[in-house]
Amino acid sequence: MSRHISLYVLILFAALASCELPDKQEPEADFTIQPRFGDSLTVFHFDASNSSDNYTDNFRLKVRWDINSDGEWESEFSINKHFAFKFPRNDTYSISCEIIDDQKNVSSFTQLLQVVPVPRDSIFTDLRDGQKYKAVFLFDRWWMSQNLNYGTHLPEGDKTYDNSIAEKYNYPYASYDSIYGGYYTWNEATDYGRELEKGVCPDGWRLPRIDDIQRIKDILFFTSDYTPYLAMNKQFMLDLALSGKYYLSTKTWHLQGTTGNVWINHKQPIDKFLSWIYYCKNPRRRYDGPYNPILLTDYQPLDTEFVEWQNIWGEFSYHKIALPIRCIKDHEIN
Amino acid sequence: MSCGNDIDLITYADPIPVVYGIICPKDSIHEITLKRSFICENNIPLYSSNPDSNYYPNAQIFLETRVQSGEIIQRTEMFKYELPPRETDMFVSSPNYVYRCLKKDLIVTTNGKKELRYALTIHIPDQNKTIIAESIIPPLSMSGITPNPGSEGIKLDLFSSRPQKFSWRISLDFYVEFETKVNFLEERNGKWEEASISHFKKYNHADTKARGAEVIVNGDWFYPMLGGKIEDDPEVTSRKFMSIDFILKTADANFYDYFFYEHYLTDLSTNTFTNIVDGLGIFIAYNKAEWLGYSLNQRSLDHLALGKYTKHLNFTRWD
Repeated sequence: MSRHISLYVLILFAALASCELPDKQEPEADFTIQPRFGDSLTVFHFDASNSSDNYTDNFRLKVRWDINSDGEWESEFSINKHFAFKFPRNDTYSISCEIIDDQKNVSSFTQLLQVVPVPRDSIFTDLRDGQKYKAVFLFDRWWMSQNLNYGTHLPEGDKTYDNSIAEKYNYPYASYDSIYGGYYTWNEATDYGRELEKGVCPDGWRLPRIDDIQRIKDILFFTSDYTPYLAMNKQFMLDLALSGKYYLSTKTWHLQGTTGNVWINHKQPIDKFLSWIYYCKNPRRRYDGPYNPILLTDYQPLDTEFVEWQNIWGEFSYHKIALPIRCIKDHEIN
Repeated sequence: MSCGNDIDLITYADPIPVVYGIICPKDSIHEITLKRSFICENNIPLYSSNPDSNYYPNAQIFLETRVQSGEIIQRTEMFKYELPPRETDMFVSSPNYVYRCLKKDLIVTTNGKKELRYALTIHIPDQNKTIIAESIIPPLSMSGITPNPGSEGIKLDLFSSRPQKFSWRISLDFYVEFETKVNFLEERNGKWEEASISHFKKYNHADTKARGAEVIVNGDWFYPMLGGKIEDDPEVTSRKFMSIDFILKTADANFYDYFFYEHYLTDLSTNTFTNIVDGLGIFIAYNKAEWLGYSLNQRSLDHLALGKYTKHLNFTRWD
């Protein structure tokens, strides 16, 4: 009897020993792209070092790259997880990385990458008052890199009048003038509806439109964090300031250092107005109410959205609020 | 019958770019070399002496500063520059090309709190090949350095009970090298010529748990070091001490790995170290703190001239 048991155990052991656990699990492909944004002179660095597998050690995983996801691999399978590439022209590219493990399981991962022109920066003078403003050529048009600060400074609480004089409010601390610029009511921003397109901007410049801002959002579609691109001293050199807003009715300043708005001209009936708002996500409430002021230098993530105000909204009504202005100049083709 | 026994030892492969660049943001000129590997069946000297086998004629090279997340802060192109011919060896001695850019074209403004790195990017149109190498730029002002760099004109007493000491805080991210450079004149055939020797002490970033390191400059160490470093030369009749420079260099930790592979591995090891993506070689940024122009007091000079470790070098007793 015991001999039989020994025989069964032996057979069972032999059967188990001959079995190899099949590894059918695909490796987990992952890679980073640095930088995340660049032009046709930029060499992008692709790094798949963070890819992993349940059986195969990381250093044995092999990687190959298809830089345009056209099925033609730009590299052979290699244990080298790094790859560098420079794109010949501005376009959107689909980058695929394929990983193979020791058991020939394959997986791939694809990311999009946009190659766009290099931003150029400059300084121009507003001939009306001789003030100089920084500007940046961004996606086929010039953007002011500073908020407009043109016009007559009104004391807090004073009302604006339709008197053909551009009137503005200024944040009470003079050191912020160059950052926050002037705050204009919609009426002052558009010369009481007579200059919906140009607004109070210098000659040759105009108020931003939705398509201007949508262009930036399209370019940044790949990221939910706009800070590295739009914030002060960042990639796009747009230097968006968290300038908040000024309420005329209460004569109070709101959300400086936390959010920023600029007026948008969207050619809508006079009872609707748009602003572009950009803000730090971190405050629990985006708009009014208790919040913890966060300085931009804390590198909190920014987001952007449009806010549409109707003048029936009372406190948010256009004539009770003053916002900064960023002007735009269309590219002149010589 | 169907099996072939011939082994094809020479299989064509694309040339591999080979980069050598060790640059410091404080230098006025940044310089790298770019060469290429080649394959030939025979007559290696013929190939190696041909510039076309050694260089890429149309390489486009840029040096950039990038932040940790890869965003480009600045970019400048490096241009081909011809140096005087190299010493003759099996490789071509002329033209001797390097690629250069100026410090003013790529200003590094890190205060050490934000990580900034150099990125070297090379595009080789003939091969449609692109390579990249990145290196962290060590902070311009290293933490914990004493004394403050730059103090000059100090007379060292190598027998003082309070010897000159240089100390700094260790960072695991960086490889540290402390150079002691002794400058002197040598009298040869009645003419005085400038000469110098350097002693390097290396501090591997990973082999210590200490928080700081220091170098103490005293006679116990200095004279045997100098006696061992200066080679006997019968043509030199006399030497005159000039000055001592101390230089603390901090480099990206990758440099130690490169150094280790180059100097300590045996020939049996086939490993090489490179931080060039899709190429070979080394690209490293380093930074330095300098204490220049130290001299020796009379007692220390006397020992230099008459002490047993350096007496044979015929140093004069005056500076």
